[in-house]
Amino acid sequence: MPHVQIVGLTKRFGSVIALEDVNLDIQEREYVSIIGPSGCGKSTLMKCVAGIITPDVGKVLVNGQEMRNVPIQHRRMGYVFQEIALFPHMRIFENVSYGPRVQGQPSQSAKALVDELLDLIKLNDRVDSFPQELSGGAQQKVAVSRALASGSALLLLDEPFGALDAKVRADLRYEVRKMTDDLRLTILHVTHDQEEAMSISDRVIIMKAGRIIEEGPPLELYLRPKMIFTANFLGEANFLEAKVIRQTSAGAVVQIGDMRLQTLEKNRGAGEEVIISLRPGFMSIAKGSGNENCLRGVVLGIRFMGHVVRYEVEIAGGRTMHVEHPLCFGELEIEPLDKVNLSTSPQHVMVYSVPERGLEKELQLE
Amino acid sequence: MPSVRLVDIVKRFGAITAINRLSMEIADREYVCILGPTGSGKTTLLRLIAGLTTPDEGELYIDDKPVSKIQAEERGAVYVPQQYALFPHLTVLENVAFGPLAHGMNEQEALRTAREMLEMVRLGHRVDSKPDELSGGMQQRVALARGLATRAKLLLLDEPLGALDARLRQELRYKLRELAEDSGVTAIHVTHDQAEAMAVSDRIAVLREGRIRQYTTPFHIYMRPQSLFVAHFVGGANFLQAVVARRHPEESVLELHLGPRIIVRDTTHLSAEEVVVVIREDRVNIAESAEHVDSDRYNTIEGEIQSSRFLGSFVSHQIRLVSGDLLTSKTPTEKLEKPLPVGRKVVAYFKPSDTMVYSYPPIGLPRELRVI
Repeated sequence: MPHVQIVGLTKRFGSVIALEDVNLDIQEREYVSIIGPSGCGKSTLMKCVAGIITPDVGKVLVNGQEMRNVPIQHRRMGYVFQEIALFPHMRIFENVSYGPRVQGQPSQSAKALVDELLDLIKLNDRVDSFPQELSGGAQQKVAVSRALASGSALLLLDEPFGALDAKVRADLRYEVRKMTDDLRLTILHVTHDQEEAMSISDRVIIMKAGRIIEEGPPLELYLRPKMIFTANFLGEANFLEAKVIRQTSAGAVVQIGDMRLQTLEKNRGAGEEVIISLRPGFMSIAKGSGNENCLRGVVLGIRFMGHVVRYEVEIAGGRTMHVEHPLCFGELEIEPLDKVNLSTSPQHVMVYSVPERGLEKELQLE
Repeated sequence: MPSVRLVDIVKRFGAITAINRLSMEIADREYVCILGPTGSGKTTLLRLIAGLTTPDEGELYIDDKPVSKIQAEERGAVYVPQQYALFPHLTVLENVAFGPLAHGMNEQEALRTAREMLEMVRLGHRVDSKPDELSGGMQQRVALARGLATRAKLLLLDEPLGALDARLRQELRYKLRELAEDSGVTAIHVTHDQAEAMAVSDRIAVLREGRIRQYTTPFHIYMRPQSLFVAHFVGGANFLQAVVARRHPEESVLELHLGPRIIVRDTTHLSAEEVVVVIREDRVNIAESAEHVDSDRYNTIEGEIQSSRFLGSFVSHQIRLVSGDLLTSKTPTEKLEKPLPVGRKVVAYFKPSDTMVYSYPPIGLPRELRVI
């Protein structure tokens, strides 16, 4: 039952620092996802754990054992990556039982585990098929089973669904999560897909430029991101320049142009320049100028997105904001060029210090 | 001013019919998405319009002129393939300027346009880089910028955002739509991502096995899907098997497995007919008990929370109903303090008007919904 400790990992490639003092503890049976923009070091971190890359500094411990001198094949970790890598000339059963066979495990116990794995992914009726006779999604499930067939209790998933259609990947992620629960595995999962990470993980790790910048349970991280980068990266957000005009017992009141919003932010002095962040799904839009605690603007565009309608609103002062109205709350009679007000509850207004190198640079996705 | 019309197009590859007697029209300045699963024929369709492959049957018109006898480069179209091929020895700027230069633009204007397009795809800071110094997603955006920079009036885009990280992909789709609108082009955009299709298109053509299953606005595709497949592929939904128990003039009573009954607005199916009821996930609500629900206005079914999933602006719950069916309910995160615990007894409820009813498909429900 693996407990993984990553201690002070640093890795350079020439002058590029891919990982810089990364520390991470993964509990037994925890499902941890790592997300971050391209080049943030998430795959390098995974490869250090797997033993494919040797870090310059720092160590990886599994159940307290240092991994540095343990070769890949003895680390007892299953590893699945984006490119489906099944043996095309072997049937599904042979593919999945490949690991135990080359390790010389007794065929009876190996077969029992392989059967159980194929049962879990509901492919037990396809044991005699060849990989190319299966869909991409099914092939990737076989790849996961193969990675687990040697009895690994630690599974490393590196963009395992990256090559699949959106619809297929959305279904598959829950199947894999269920499978890993049933088998009581510890999971480290690298993905570029925020929704995927949030929907299946116990904990989400945000990486940027070789470092872990924030981590937490998905809901907590989404509702109350501490870093402005996280607010933007983990789901969409609108950012506005604002100024604290006073502190109330509830929190700071901020001013945007001639408009005001109540926040729950403490410890900000009157007059301080800040950036506020508002998620499109946490704002209500209505016709008219509203009360004094809201933003006002003009509707520039409307897009029907299925379960939400997305409004593009230019607020007084010229900034464009996006608001998503869930259709289960009913349809709105709002047309382009209508004057509207945008309101939200104070807990959904996040307040950040103005980044030193500018907002745009701070939010850059690569 | 390109409009495109396909009439009875058939394209076979050996024994496989990739495009099966397909007809469709794309109006001048329209933004159309071809949406479908892997292997549905999307790329083939785009390549036919681009002139990179020829149909076995049927005729293709651009601006009402038959084009099957016109060379690809004379169609006024630019095709941006999924597998972008950049010149490795040229800089990003030169790569993009190559598009307009090849289309006869003078050098100065070509460079100016190239810069503008690179700004648009957020690569203004990488104009002097060589392609191999860029990530896959960046290279794809260079290819896209090169296509856009030609100022061709007909844009054919094959998964133009496919190699990008999810977050960037989401951001750039709105940019793409804006750009198409501002420059007055006609765009045909192939994707497997229904959210992307919804976000950018005037109309969506849902393709399956070489045939168009439905071709209309995002609103109509979502609100009035003509088949179970379209309801499933675009937007997702719950699918419950049922039998028509009784038919009234303005509504019908359906019986689910093991007895629970629900009321639907549909009256087109006969008594005793086997049907499938479709309910969008965001139209299913959850209450702690039936007393909290106005049973005159809502259907109610008892069940138990099986799992919950946090999706960002929505939270979904999977409810195991007393009928044995699994029902998914999607609630805006804003409305929910925290997800309901697994095992909690609940009542799922929804309006009769929020249901859609279809005949049980002859090929069976799992096959009808299969997306490969």
